[in-house]
Amino acid sequence: MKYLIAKNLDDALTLREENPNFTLLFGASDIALKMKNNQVSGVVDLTHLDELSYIRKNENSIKIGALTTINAILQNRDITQFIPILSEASKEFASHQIRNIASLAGNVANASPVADMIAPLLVLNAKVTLLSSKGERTIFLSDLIIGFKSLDLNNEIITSFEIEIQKRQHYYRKVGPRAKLNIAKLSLAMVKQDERYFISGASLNPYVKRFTNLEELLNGKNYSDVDIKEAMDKDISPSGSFRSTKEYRRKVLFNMLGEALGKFAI
Amino acid sequence: MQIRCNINHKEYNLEVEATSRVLDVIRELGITSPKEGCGEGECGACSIFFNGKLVNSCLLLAGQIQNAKILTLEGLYEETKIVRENFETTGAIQCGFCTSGFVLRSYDYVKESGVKDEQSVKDALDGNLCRCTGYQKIVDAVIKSMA
Amino acid sequence: MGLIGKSLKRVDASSKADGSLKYTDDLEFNGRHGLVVRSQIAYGKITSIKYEDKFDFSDFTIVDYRDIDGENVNPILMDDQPFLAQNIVRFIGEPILLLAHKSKKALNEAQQNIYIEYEEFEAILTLEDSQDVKNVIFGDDNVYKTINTQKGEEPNYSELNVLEKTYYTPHQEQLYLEPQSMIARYSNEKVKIIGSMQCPFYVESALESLTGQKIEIEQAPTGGAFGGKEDYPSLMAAYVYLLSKKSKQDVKIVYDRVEDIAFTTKRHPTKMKFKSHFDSYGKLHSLNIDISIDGGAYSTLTPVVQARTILHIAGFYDCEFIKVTSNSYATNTPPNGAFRGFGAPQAIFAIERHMDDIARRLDVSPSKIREINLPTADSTSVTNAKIDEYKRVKNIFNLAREKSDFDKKRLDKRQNRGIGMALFMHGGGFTGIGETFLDSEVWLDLHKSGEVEIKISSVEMGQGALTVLPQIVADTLNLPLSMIIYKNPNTFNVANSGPTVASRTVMIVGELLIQTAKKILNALDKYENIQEYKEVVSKYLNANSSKRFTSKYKKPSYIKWDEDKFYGNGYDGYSLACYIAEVEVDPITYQVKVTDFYAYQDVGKVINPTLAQGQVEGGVAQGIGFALYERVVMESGKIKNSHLTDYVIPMASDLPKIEVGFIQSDEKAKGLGELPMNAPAAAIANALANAIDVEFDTIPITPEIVEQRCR
Repeated sequence: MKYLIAKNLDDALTLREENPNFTLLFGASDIALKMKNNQVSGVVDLTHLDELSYIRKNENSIKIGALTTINAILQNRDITQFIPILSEASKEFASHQIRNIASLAGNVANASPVADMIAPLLVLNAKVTLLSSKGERTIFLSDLIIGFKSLDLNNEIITSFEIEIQKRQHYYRKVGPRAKLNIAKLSLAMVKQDERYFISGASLNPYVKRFTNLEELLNGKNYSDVDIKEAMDKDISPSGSFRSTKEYRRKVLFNMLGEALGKFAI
Repeated sequence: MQIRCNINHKEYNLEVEATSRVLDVIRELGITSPKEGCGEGECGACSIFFNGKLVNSCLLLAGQIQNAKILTLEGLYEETKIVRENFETTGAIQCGFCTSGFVLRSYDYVKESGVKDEQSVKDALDGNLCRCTGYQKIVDAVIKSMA
Repeated sequence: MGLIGKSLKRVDASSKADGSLKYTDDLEFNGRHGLVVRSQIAYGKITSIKYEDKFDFSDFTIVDYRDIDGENVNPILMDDQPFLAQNIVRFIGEPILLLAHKSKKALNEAQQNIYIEYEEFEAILTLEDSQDVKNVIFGDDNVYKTINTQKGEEPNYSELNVLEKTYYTPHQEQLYLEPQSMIARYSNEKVKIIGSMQCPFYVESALESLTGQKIEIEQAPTGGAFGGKEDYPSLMAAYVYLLSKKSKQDVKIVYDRVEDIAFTTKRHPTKMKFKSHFDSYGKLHSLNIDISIDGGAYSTLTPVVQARTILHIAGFYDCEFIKVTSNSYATNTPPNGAFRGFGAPQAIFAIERHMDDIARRLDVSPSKIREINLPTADSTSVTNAKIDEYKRVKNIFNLAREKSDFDKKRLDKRQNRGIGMALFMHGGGFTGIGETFLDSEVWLDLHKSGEVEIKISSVEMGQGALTVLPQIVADTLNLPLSMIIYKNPNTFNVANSGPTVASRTVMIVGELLIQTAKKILNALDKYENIQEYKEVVSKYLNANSSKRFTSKYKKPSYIKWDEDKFYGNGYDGYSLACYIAEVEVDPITYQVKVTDFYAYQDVGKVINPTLAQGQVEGGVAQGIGFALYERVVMESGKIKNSHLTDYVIPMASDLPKIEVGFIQSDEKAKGLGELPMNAPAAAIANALANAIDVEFDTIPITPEIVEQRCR
């Protein structure tokens, strides 16, 4: 199997264009399993591009390079202070050893329905910068992930994420089969900003997306438990797999929404 | 692919398949403390230091360690002395298969001046599985190493 | 003297801590890797095996049942298991062919190019379908073995309360961290087997069946076993042997985790139906219990698991009438086998849940119900034996309650929190006539240096045998531990002291070592120190040609057991315990956390306290896994969750601090290895009943099930 190491960003773009079916390696917490399942036809290794590994705070936002590891995010003081929901999500991500190689872009680009970092990024209204030989564009993350493990990418490489610094209240909770090192049964990421709610969660849909019906409902002033359940059922379609059941996911999500609203009310 | 790397303070020039797992590359050199317990990054028995960061070597591909510095337990003999002694005396070792992974993780945690309470230590061990000990004496050994 | 009761450091601690100890897959190896080609269907006939023309198989070693010179039978109890399928396959994963090649990659490719076709028969995939005889897959009625036992006279039922309940325990995977691993070394037309195993002589016996010869078997350092390496390594050894003999090269097979979980032995799923009669105080008057066990596709160890389940199914409770019926069934799923407890965890879950269920119906406390039913001097067991340890049950029961403050906490109605208990035992050593049948022998060789070498087949698999047995010998001989040699057993060099199972290593083998060491003491002149010792050894060896001292197992005359009638005392000795669990249920996620755990036991003499505590802590952790986390999801005869991401075992953050205590009494040490596994599930389920008023009769008690039951 061909394995190509990108020497710099331009090189990466060229290799990407020349080998559109090759797997882009951002960190490598997922590729070993993919290779075992014969899902990889070739590799373009981006992990040596140190220039894509950074966390920069400027006046209005924090910019995170694509290759920044989850542990780097977890340990970063600016993120803990200004976008704490991302720290909390990082804490629940896999294990210490995996956090040391998994990258933010890798988790996003894999676009798994159980990805841990996508929901928090969505409720932070994160923007993602994509680069190709034809140029650069920056879009909302919500516009990038469009389906089950599919991204709206045109031979592009994710280079960075940007999150505005805002006054936010947040809630994050991930539920797995045990306390640590879990694939999410479900998770809830919620932000309240300027009296508006931004809500998302993992493992509740074929791909991680915003819960727009719940957002609309909660942005209004009056709603009952029944209303919440109805909106919730429009926003999620959890599968019953051997990992968990539909009923459990629905019930626990409802409970977590209650817990979150309680937290925000204080 | 030609991979140049430094493993346990020794320079290597290896001819390996770039997609082979670093765990296999290391073990084929006779460095056998990193072990395969699961091949999926779930058990931590394959833990190694990769450019100073503790990672699962079963998840890394050989191409990623081009020009890298790798340290296994064999290359950290002096540095892990206190942790190892504490593991030995508290009874934190039974079958031993998970031990090198736990020693490295514990050393990593102690080195980073981790928090000394039981729950924090348990949470820090979120990448290492043990089936024999129930973890109790491992936690004791880690806390003892932070005295 | 004075080494017993000391927490001596493990002799293998430093080589394990510094990573220098070599397990099977760490050993120098330059040969061929092996691969097992398996059945894709649960039950049927192989109609053809075709090799792709375009693929070059010339460099591969290919083995099938025709390469077996001896018998294609893995001899355990019923001799129904072949090493390789001949034409009938009975479970998904049954080995059909073996391949060997220098490259693992080539092996995987080769496997893709072998096409096996089957005529499928109607498979039996569940215990219920087997019981209903939807199809006959074994014998006349799918039953491997029936064992019934009954004692006493039925009481007057009209005056009594009755409770009928069924309890169910599922498969559980041992998950030793080192996967199944085996090497065959080829040299001068001879093959030597080295690998991860609990029972070198079982492997010898298997290969004797396979080849007609005694093959040299050596245990390599073993990374955990818990029963999962009791009989399975015999198959591994057969595979590498056959490939090695045919290729005339070293062959190694190391399972990857997915393969290991998917196809190796598991704990037997067991259904236990209780119908009990009791008075209004909770005193039992009649116990009628029916046990059904799922043995999988071949019987392997099932009849013995069944026997042990029966002998533990009534706990230590006695009443005037006890009737136990049991059947073990064949299903077209991977054969089940040994896992720490070997039927007792299943049985204790049921009886200890049942006692609490009775208590709830009478509004009597769990303590009271057990107090009323504690064995007395007149009590006898399920199979009518007077058990010496009965008089000590009360002590351990009271100690555990006191240390955990059980009775007070139980009355504290704390939201979503509860406390529960389990009172139980574990019979040490082989069941029934087993120890007599094993006929264990130990050798101690006296070297010129004064060193004493232990030559037995018991293995170190993490439990500490390599330290504890020498500790016992050193203590008896008043020597430092360093003067006792104990190498990994090799069947060509050691006595057959039996398998390393059944919590018999310290209790039975250790006792034989004490006897043998005493023979050395008697043979030598008196000595006061090491210098004198070396002198008397010299004197002895100069005057005697044999340096070997031996002892053989002899069943204590006061233990009587009738195998045909299944009657009498099934074990030479029992360890006792009372475990108490405190749980908390998260009202948002329904997750159950064990917040505190008290493990108090009476195992007679404790040889090495730190190692003993380790056995308890590890066993309790596995028991908590059994109770709350570990599920084997079987679909159409195949395990769906054979990845570690989905077969979830507890990690450090999931486990509470376990309070461990021992009552030391007897002179003799009893079994400890399995005891801790028997009770956590019952204690936790009982605690949950206290916490949220729901009775869980099945495990694991996952959050999904808690949510469902709380609706």
